[in-house]
Amino acid sequence: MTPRLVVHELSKHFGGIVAADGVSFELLDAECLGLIGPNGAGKTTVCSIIAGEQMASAGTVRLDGHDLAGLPVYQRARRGLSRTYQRLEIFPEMTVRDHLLVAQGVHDGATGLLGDLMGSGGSSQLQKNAAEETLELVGLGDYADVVVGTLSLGSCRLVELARSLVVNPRVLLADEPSSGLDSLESVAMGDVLQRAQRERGLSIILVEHDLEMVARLSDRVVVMQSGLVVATGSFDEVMADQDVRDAYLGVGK
Amino acid sequence: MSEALSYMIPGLPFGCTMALIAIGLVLTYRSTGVFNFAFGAQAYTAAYLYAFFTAHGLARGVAGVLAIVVISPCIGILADRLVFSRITSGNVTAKTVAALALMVGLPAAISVAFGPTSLASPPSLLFNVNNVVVHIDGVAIDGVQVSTVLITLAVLVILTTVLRSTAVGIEMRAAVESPRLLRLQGVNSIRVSSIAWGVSSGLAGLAGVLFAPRYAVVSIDNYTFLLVAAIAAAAVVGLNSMVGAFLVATALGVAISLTTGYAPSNSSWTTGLFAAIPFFVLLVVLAFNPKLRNLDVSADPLINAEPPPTFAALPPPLRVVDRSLFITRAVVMLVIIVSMMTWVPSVWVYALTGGMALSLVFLSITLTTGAAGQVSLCQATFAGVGAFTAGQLATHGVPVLTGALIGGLVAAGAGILAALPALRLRGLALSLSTLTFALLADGLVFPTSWVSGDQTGLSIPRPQIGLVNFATQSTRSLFLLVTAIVAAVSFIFWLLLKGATGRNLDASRQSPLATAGLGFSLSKAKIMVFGISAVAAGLGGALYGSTLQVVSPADFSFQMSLLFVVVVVTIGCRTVSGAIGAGLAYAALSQALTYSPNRLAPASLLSILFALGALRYARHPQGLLEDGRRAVLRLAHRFRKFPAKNSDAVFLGARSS
Repeated sequence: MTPRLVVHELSKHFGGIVAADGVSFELLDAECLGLIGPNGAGKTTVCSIIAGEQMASAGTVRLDGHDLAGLPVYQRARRGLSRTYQRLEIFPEMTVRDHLLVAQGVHDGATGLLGDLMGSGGSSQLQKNAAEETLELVGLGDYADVVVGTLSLGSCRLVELARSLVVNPRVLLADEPSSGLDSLESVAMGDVLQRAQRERGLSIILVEHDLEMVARLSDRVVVMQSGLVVATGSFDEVMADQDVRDAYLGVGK
Repeated sequence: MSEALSYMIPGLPFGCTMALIAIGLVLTYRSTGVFNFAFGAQAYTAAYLYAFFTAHGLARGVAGVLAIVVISPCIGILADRLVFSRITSGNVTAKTVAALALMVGLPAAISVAFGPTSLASPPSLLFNVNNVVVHIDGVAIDGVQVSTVLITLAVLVILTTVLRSTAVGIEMRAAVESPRLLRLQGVNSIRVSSIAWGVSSGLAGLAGVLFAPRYAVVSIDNYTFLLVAAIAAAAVVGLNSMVGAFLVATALGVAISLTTGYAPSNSSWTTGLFAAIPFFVLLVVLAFNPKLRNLDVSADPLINAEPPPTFAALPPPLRVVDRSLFITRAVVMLVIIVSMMTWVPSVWVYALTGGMALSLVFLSITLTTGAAGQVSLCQATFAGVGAFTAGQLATHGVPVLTGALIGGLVAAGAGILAALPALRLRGLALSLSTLTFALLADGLVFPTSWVSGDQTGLSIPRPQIGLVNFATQSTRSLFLLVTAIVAAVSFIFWLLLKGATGRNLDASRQSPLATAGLGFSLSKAKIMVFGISAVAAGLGGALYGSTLQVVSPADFSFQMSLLFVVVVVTIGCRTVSGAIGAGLAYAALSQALTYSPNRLAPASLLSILFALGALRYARHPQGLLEDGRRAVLRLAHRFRKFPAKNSDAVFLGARSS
């Protein structure tokens, strides 16, 4: 099976600091890959490089066999890379539904001035139906008309996720989706991600500190420390690795 | 050698005054997160007051202390307490708009308080300008130059020592990173912020007083140049280092002085080019220094600790109210048009025709600031490009309406040119970049005779369509023509704002990162926004010029760009009706204020009114028109007998026209 995403020998230097050093991994179809490691390990840097927000010092990222080198963020998004952010990125003045319709409009190329001038710049029924479906999937069906700035942090994270999911991305980069959530909200977030993966065949890179969520969702786990990949395997395998326990969990000593 | 020295030496004190402002900029930005565009205006205020006090017999020392140590810091602390401290840290647009409002309002307040006539230059603070203190290689160095350099060096040493070694200094440095953490440590961050504003405003005042004797009169224009040059110096060091800002500012001062000294004395253009060195430096630094692209990104480690901003529940929209308001506005517009065609005195028709034409320029601000959330400070420049193009084409026999359309297209070119260095910029950096663009146009392009004609200005004839000559008809028919053009362009803008373009820009205003992550090209959007807005501005500028019949560079200077932003933001920058309302309100108020006594400086009074309006932006970004709609909605809800559909929904109604 061709991997959906291949990260090969990815490195990133900030002056003398090495944030990522020869990071390689593959993401298969409908797989959830947990990317874990202590703070400063380079997880978010790797995510940002994959998304195109930062340029790699060396190495390649291939999506469905195509090299993404030199492509800006928006072009990678159009090829099927979608992400959520550790620091919430929402449109606070828009309603929940509008978040999804904007995503669809941008994804489907509804940015033409001519379309607006002909009065056809609005969303199609098909897009509206897809938005409703996604809202039901994440459990926000009843909040479609609520302005997002008035919602709780947990709901905002779900809105962000729904906005990513509505365009049926090939790969979702979920950067600490449980950040700032309580344990119940975390579980609910995990449920939604799992449903999206199963029902839509989504491939997910899950950057997460909540190990329970990682254990539940991830088919495989990559452990990073100081910019290096120190272990790869199933959750149980990497947790049994003494190096990982020493470096990341601080146990076993 | 002595020739070079004679050119370089005056640059040193000039660089020092620039350095004082640059240090103030770094200090305020670093300790409060506000980039204070108003420092130039504050320096002017201090200089004016110092000149006023000394002209009325006060001793130089006493006048200096009053202006620099008492009044300037008070202005800064008041601005902080009343305006800037009330704006949330992430709201860069609101901070920029507030600083612009001060930049426009302060000099206007001086005009209103002390009369519109400018004051003669005051005496030097320490030594006399005629006292030659020392000769270097045959070049005389006067008292003003020595005192400026000495005072600046002393201030720099004291400031850096205080910041490095005292408790207050450490608190101010900590405030840079995180005011929240500082508060959690039990430090009164309000006090820290006030000290930073007081000190930096004192520096601006000092720069103003030291700078004043260089020129024959105390004029705000000189201080704006000083401000932008200081911004360039501060930007070179990434707004990071006070000593660095001092060194760069001094070097810039010397470079300007040296190059303008060697410029051919008969070429004002070459002199202008060399005087514009700081502007070029600023443009280059903004385009290539990645640090400046992230000026708006908070380094606060606790930024994630706060929940996303919440919004006060607003009254849900009622279709009946919005329909009634639409009909009311249409009726008001109709009444205005009928009145203009019949009984309104011609002087008012003339004023409102100009206002109607300006509403096209204001529409361009609706797109850049209202929809895209970028405060562009060169929209009047685009209007000027349109007006001068139409005027020059008219001299070659091109009909003025055709010329206006071509002017709009040429302005679009200028818009794209302005957008290119700003492609990766947003927020504050973009505002600075556009301000520099406007200043370069003001200094190098607009004053040339092949653009703006001779000293008397450039004529732009009234249009002629078929047999209807709008020059021989009364201005009433011109009003109708301009109104029809504005209606057509407004309809196009309305379609854009209601469609995918408006929705995507709305999203990019609220989260550029997320919008790019969805597949939206921010660079292409910026080029589009600048291009389209410049077309409207250029067309508006040409029609405005045709109404006035003669235009000069002063009609489209950067000050006008600032004023226009302030006007549109006050009335409503997010809707098409806001732009038209702003055009009419601006014209009507300008005309009404001409009936006030000259002593009150009517033009300045107008600036003050709109500056005060713009200060509301942080809390009421929707403007006065939308405020009115919401008030009607609330009233309607009070009398409503049945629940509305979607009554649980909360709407901002930000884009309802």
